[in-house]
Amino acid sequence: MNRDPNGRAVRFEPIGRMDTPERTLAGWPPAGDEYAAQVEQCHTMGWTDGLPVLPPTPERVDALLGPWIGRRHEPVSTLPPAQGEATLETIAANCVLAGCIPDHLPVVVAAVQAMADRRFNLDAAVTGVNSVSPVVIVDGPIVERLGFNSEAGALTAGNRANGAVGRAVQLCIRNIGGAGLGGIDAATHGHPGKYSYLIAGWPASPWEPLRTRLGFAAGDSTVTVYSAEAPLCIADMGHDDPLSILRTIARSAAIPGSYNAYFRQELWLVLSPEHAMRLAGAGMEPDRIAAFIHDQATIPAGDLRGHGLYGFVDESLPPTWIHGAGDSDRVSIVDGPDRVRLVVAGGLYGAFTSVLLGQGVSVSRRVEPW
Amino acid sequence: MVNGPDGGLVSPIPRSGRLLSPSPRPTSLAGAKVGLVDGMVNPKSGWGRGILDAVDEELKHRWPRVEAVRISRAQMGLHEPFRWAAAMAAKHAALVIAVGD
Repeated sequence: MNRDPNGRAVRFEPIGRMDTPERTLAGWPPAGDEYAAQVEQCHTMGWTDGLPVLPPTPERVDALLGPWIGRRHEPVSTLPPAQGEATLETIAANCVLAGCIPDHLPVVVAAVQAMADRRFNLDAAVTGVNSVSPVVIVDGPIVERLGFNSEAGALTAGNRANGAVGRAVQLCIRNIGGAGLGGIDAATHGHPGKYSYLIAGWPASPWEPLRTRLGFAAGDSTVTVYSAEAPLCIADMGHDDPLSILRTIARSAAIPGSYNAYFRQELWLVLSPEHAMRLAGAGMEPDRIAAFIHDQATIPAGDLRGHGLYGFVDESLPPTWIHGAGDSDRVSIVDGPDRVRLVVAGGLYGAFTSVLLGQGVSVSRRVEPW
Repeated sequence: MVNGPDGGLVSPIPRSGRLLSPSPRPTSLAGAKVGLVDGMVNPKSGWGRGILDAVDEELKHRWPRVEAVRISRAQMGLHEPFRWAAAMAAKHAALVIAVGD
């Protein structure tokens, strides 16, 4: 029996319950139902997220690879935490499991490459006890060409491209990165985004598009990955003053129990078209919005001391930004305006912004065409 | 019919990881200096210290004159991990690092 630091007996169950009790499988799959038998085989092999999948037969994987079929064994990236080598074939097999079609493959490949970038720190995103999940933010011509939903219900279920591509990325993390095997994912609560978490940028954004703000060409399509908590939906309706909207967002985002309040890294805002148009109509550009959020999303140092992750504060891990601060001095939840990122998505009507608190920094990649 | 270990399906799991080459392993730690690093994100929990205490005991049990040196997270060089790793490698015959949160 293991014991905790106080000597209490503890039973480690790091992966939670992943199996299905055999008695509940009695009578399933039905005799002669080869498809259901293969789905059960995928569950047994530990390849799924718990939901039904399309079994990756050789024929389906070949079809998914499309014009890249001759490059199937080509290494794409090495994915942490298990340092699994992602080839086009293994990515395609995960795409089949997720329900993708061939046009989705380049998007998933770009997301895998972005997650493999050391700056992204996928290890931290999928091995810690914190409840974050990589979110994929898609921008550019592929949003319309592949039928991603960037409009009403942009963050919810129901769209094939959003659902399947987002799910394929999460399955790659589990199956190639190894996050679903052997209890590597230690999240205390986890995150529903680990089924699928994808946001497509609204093509009619009133501002310069996300991809060009990130330094890509206007004709490029891009994916950006970021380790995000669940969306925190902020309503601000009926105010004409754009600063009122931004104050509401900033005050709502500044909560002492978040990782942002301690590590002060990136913060993403998913602005509804209505919020975006009201801000843009008042002459507010993304840089000015980011500066305002940096300035206003603050917490008094006195409130931070002794709360949230500040319980870590000791001689071994000093958060330098709080040392020397008076109790009434305000500490921003981001360490600079450039940490605040914006994307526009959602239905035309509704004055909402979803705040994506999270950890680390985002990484973007161009989607390479076939 | 489902055949074979992967049921006749294409595995979505890599056949092998591209593992980093491990450093040469010392054949003996007798008289060696070993770094025991508490790299836990939350050192106050005491989990890292407890594990390293056990490692410390085991080292002394197995090897004569082994010198175990405790290294805290504050000494890890949070923003320059590779330079820190090189410096540690130069000073110690082996490092045992407790990581997690």
